[in-house]
Amino acid sequence: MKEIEVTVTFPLAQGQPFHTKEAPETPAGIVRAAAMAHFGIQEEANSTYYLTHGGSRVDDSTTLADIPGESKSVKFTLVKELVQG
Amino acid sequence: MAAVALDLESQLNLLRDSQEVVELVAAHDGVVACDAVDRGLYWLHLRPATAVAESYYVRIVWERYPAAPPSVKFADAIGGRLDLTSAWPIIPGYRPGSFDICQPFTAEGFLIHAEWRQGPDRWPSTGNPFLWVTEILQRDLDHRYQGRSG
Repeated sequence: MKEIEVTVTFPLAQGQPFHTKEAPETPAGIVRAAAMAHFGIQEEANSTYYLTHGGSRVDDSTTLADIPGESKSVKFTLVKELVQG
Repeated sequence: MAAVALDLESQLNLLRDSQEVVELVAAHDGVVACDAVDRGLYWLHLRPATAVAESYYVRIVWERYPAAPPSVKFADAIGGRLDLTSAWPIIPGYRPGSFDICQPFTAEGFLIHAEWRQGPDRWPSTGNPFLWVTEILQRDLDHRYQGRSG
């Protein structure tokens, strides 16, 4: 099956959005990890990072093919959520 | 709060970054307003996804952008009173009784927790922090909202 063009934006990014092409069976977690590396982000105890699509959280196990309404390209937003209250 | 003379660079940075804020807030049926005099003062009209009939008015004041975190307060209207606990949503980390948000994205939070200025909680001055702050507020209203404060 054809690869899917993936774009990940991050509000706090210093540079350009992350772009890649991935197989439809690629889990979102793989994309998230690659995007975090692109943006120079490391996991932190006080924050969690995840992808959203259309405002909804995307679990790491969700494959690109599972993203509703998308077949050729998909756009995610990388979210940094503060853990402490 | 008296109007702060926001430096020109901060004004230009805010003008650029506020475009994405407007898009985000509008997508959630909200409104963004910028004060006509104080260019660092913004008002957001936000609604929780689970209670769209409820309106919350957030006053965001930037004294340097994007170098420093903003003051974030809730009011009873755009340009309204800031001393009403009923203007605040009940969300963990939001403190209506103190009229502040004790989280590492507000000036009030960093004032209380000076240790946040270093390490992983430090203020992120890269990218579009205005959008990041707005996303946090909207996400908290959508997913952590427990009702209106009394």
